[in-house]
Amino acid sequence: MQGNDITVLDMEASIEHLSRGTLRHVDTLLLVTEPYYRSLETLGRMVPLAQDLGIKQMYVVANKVRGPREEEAIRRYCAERGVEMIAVLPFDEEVLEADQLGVPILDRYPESAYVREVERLRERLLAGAVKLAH
Amino acid sequence: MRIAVAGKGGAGKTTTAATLARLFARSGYTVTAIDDDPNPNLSVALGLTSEQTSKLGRVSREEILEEVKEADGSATMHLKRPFAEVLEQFGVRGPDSVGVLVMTGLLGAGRG
Repeated sequence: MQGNDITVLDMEASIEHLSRGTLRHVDTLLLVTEPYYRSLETLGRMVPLAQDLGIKQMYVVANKVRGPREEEAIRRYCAERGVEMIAVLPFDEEVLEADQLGVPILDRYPESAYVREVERLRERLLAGAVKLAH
Repeated sequence: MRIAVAGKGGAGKTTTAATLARLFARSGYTVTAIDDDPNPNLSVALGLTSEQTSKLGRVSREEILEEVKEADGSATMHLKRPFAEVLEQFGVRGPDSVGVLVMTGLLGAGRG
């Protein structure tokens, strides 16, 4: 579609109600997960659903990651299910603080590790979109 | 690019969606952020003022989308009118000029 337009849709927690037709409006699905059992379990349910729906690009975004061990656990989980982990967002006290204050982390702590990693996520999404177009 | 952000509640999808939207806007893209969550808090994460948030109208999907049956029997959703117009009527422009819409049920399964 329009090359300079981006739509970001913050979805309901569950994607069980998605249908094939409506998802034609989405070309990239980000599945945000925490490195905990129940979060990964939800992820494990969503991945095959999304694969069935034929979404062009699906990526896992690991969030609230506290170290290499947690990162590795999510990476392994993704590899087993054939889905790419596109970003590792760190557990960041600054995100919690901004959240409690009701202000965007981007305004409160623009230099935070979290914001830095979301910027890397943005760059990788663009790179992926370019790849898809060719 | 049309990006949907999903995940278990509390996983941080709203913060991620909001930060991503604003970073795209800062790098020169025209960005629309849509809140499809029944407990909308994307506007807070984006940094809208409470005055702006109170102006946000809740758009029903029927208002802007219509279902079109394809030849193969599947149904697809189409915009009834230009997106900019919808944003003008129901949405607001927040920090970094990110357009914000609240549209609960946007991607719900074909009801009926």
